[in-house]
Amino acid sequence: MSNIFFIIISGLLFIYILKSVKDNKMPIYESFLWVLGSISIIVLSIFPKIIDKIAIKLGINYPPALLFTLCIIFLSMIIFRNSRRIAHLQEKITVLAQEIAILKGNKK
Amino acid sequence: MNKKQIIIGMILIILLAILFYSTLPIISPDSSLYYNLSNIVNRQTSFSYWNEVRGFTLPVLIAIITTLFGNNILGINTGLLLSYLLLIFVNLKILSITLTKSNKSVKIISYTTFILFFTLNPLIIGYSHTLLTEAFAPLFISLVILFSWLFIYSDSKKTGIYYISIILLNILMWFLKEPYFPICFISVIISTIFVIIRKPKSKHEKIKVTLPILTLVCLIFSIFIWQNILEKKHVSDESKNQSFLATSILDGLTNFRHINENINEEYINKNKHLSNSDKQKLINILKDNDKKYKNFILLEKLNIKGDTIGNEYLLLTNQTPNLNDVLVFLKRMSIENPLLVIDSYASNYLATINVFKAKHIGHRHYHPVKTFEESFTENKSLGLVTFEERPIYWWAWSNDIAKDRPYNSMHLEKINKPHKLIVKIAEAINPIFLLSFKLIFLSVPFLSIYYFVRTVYLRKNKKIIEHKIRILELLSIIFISSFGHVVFHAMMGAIIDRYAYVAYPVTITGLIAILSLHTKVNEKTKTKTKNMSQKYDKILVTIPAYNEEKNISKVIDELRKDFKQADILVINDCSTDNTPNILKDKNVTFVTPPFNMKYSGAVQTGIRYAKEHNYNCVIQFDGDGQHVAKEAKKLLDKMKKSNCDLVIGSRFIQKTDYKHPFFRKVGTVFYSSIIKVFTDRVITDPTSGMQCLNNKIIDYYSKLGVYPEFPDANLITDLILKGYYIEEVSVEMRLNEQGVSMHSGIIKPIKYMIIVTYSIFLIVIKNIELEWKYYE
Repeated sequence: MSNIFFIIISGLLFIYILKSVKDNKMPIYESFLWVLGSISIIVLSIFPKIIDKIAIKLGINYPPALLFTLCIIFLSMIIFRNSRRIAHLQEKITVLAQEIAILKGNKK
Repeated sequence: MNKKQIIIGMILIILLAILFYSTLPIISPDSSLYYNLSNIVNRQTSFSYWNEVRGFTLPVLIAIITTLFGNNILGINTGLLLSYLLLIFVNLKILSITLTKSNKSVKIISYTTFILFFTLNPLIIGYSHTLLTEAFAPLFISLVILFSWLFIYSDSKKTGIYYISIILLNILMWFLKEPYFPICFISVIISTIFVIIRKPKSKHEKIKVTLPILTLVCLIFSIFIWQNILEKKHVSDESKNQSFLATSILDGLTNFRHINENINEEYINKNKHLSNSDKQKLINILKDNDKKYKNFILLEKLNIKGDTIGNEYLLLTNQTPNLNDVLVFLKRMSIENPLLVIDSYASNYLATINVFKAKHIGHRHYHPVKTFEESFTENKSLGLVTFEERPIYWWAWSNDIAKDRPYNSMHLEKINKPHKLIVKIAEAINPIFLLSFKLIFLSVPFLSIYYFVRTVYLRKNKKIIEHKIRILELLSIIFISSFGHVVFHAMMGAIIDRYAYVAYPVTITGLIAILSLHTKVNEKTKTKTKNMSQKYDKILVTIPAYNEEKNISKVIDELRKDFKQADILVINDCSTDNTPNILKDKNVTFVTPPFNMKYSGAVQTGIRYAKEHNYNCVIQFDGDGQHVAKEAKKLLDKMKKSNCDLVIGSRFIQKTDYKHPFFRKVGTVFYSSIIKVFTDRVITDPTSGMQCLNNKIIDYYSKLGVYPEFPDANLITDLILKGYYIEEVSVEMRLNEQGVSMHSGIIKPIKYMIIVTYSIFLIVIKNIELEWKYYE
């Protein structure tokens, strides 16, 4: 029965992401990874045995550890991308601020 | 029906056939009901040997099928498959009537969901326990609902046909399986209510109102005839202690003779064939204070001549033990070779769980529970085929017995084994369908009340669209029938069970029809808005340029020569080479953003510039020399002539000299087919960078969050779905091999394609609008 609970939860997550895209709250380009993640969660909650099989092949004795590992990899990928983009944005803002300063100076 | 629909239909039929035949048997020879049935079909017993709950419908249907397709399991399965296809067809008809005015994306989603729910539903995959009646019942029900809805609107010629068909179907339904009758009858009542609300004026409309009463009268009359003219013969009286089903099983085991005496200690001791240890064990069971397991049946095993050659004993329960308890009990008793039949009745449609898992036996169930090996020895005529660690409860006959049966085995061992992969998929998907089944029937009461009230209210009101009222009436009939059916069964003591299953297909149809009702047709795509007094005098050509020192001067010269009426703007995207100097020398207006913005950012900069400086028309041009300047005039002419919003310069609308690299061609074909599927428009070159924009689109692009990161086919899909008028014109282009293209390498194009395809799907989802008003 917990299976069904997780299917519902992951389904809701998926719908929530789609709805955010629909309401223009999340640009399509950014939603790709999240949609991918939520789809894989739905698939995993329908077929939980996949984790067991992959874990055995990888030599992990405790399959749930693989689940945690994958989640951590996924999250750190997103965080890394975000910090990269934030740093880049920081640079862009600096450049913009400098341009504005120069333009203001030119105007006078 | 055009070619495409026929092909799709054939593919669907083949897929269904594969599913049907690989998960045999739907009719598992799991009870002697089928043995009795075959006797009736072969005229060895009278019709009324069939229980009075079940009348003549099923035997007649089976007779027809067996004459057509052969008197064996394969034949019956073929007949069942055909009836299933008919069921899908009827429900598709119901759907298509409601879906006539939706936009294409909704139609695709609706049909896909519909097909998924039908082809993957557990009738085929999971429910080996299904009796034949439940395969035909949904078909009858769908027909009755469709007819009773059409009945409301029929004119005098067709009214008679629907009238008679509805009555006949109701009678057939009663005699198929009496508990299914409510769903047919309720739909008749509801449709009559709607006829009354419409205030029948003409004579034949008033006759329509008499349908429910006449149905009941005809039904009672036919039951009366059935019971009094045909001979009635009850099943054996032993059914007092045991349930009907178990008795039938036992009656069907011709190799066993049922011992009728009371089984007590004395009787057991007298028995010749039991070993002493077994006798003692049986006596212990009898003395056991745990009353659950006291019901015994001793069977004398007979050989073909009829001589007793042994005993087997069945431990029969007519309560519901927990499976684990029973197994524990058996182990404790360690009876040799027991055959355990826990008499049961699949109390809920979640009987599919019972097919695959051994837990949670709800009410009465029957399963053989002991794990036998697959070999059928002489001692065992009831066996269990196990499937990895989970027992799957197929009954399989040994070949000796099977020879006597009209349903001859035809290598039953092979047929009975479903394909591993399909079973695994079915097991995994089962929880979803079970959950959906529960959720759907939880929502049906609310939906039925809502739609009924809404229909009556809107019918009274004058300001309505007839088409939508019709859909509402259909939805009301569907949901109230399903609801009434489930309620009726709950009142009879059965919880949501396989009896409610027959309401499932039509409820699904209704739910998908709701989706069609609530989506708005994108009227804008149909109308071509006339732009009044559009001037196209202020034209801007935007050229995004990044490190284009080799080509940019040529491009600018060409434009200045061949396309003089336009101003040129080059967006120098922080080029690192000599491009800015060249631009200065050429005296061209150019802008340099503070940092590199990539293609989409550069183009959008050009468009904002155009908006800022009040340009009427923007032509997007590539800076790498692939676009020919002369062709820009074609774009402008097309825009002036047809007053459209966007003109795309297409390389493929007519044959040009352009030699398209193979992989790019694959991409173009792929995208144009996707666009065609979702928007019904043919765009031959969705990836072309040469486009001419109207001021409407300039405004639209300048908004926040509209212009995507990778503008391509996804942007065009968005424009079409939002209702902008797009045209294409044939242009020539040069294939330029110099310079670094945006699409070089292997990883980049693949990533690009994935993202653009993904964007298209999301844009389609974005543009499905839901409306909640029925007024127009």
